[in-house]
Amino acid sequence: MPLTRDQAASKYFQLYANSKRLAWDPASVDVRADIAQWSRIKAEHGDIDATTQLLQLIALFHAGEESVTTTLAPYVGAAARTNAGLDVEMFLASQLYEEAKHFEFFDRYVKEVVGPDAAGMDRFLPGPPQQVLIDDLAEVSERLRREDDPVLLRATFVEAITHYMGVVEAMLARTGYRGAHEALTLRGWLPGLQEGFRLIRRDEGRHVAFGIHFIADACARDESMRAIVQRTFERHLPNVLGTVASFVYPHPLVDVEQLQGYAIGAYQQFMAAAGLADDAAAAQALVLELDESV
Amino acid sequence: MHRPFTRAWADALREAINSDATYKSAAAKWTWPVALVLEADPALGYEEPVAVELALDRGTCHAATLVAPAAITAPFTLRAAYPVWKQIVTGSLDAVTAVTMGQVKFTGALTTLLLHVNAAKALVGAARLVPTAFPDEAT
Repeated sequence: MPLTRDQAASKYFQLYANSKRLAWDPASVDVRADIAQWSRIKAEHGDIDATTQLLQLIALFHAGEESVTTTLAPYVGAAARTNAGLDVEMFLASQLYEEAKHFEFFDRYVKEVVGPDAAGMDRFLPGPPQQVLIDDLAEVSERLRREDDPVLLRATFVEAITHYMGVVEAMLARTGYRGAHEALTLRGWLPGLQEGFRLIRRDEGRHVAFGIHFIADACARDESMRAIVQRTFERHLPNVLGTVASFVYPHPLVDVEQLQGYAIGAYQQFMAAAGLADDAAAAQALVLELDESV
Repeated sequence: MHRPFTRAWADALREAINSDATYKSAAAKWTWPVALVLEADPALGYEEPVAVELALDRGTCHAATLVAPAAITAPFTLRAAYPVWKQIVTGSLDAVTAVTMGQVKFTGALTTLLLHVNAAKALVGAARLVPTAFPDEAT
């Protein structure tokens, strides 16, 4: 069945088209300078635990990108089973491909740049990051895969999109990429990682934009979905803030209060842009921020 | 100068909130009462926990009442030990950071608080305007 005219003109299809236009290859990001710099940063900035802080960031991105790669497939299935539209399915398929690339980038970076220092980097995961990024995301994804009641499936789909694109991508991932990119740019460190962050953040902007449109559409069709969005954020916000708070160091590369501000701002913008909060300025700020990717 | 979490301090806090243009603007959409709870600290003369309940509505504080924590009806409660409140009131600790770090125990809808985070910060800003006599400091 061909795409309908509405589907071909939809925001979802436009985001899918941008995904093709802005495609990149994680294997092509040049990390040779990073390999030399990693040892130098470790030697020259050991007093502020610079590589420990960088390792924590990389560990969370590595585990987080693996988690979002392995949990997204049921979303594509749910889009088909709820008749969300071929345009929605196509976008989610493009996102699944992109999440795999993000994981590939971090996996490659860990192996080629971090090397032996990556041993034991799982120690950064237990607690809020493990809960919100991995366990809870896997749990809602599994519920989405199994749910066969049409009404419950729609509600679970909204919950899953809120968790994935709202909580994990808008609040955590884009906050992390923004803070880390700023910290590295300021110091002129790790240009390959900077470039990876830039490209991934651009993709994530598209994913967040998808989430906002999906939630706005779902809530416009059925007002009861608003409560599901609200409950989902309410459930996961403590773990989001706990994850941000885990970056407290005596000499932080990224200021935690600033990170926290980014995360809270991302939440306000997501809710406003989805039409669930009365803040036109926040919604407009997000539109401008996502402009590059959407 | 008022000892914190006393009736006189609560009255001064209400006056500070109502005369603070920054709070009025930042809290224009905040419509819920808030309770601030101080943990017991017998060494400083606080034998029992004590709360100040603020009847806040669109930038105005209609009442600031000293109550026992068990009598709180506000949907939002912020509870902390004396040193934490002192750091917040004196500006050395950000209130939202204190919530996220668990130094302030928060009950209520976090989603609502974070949508109105500027109102929360402005409320703390108004509290900083209250002439306060900290009981752990020599007079």
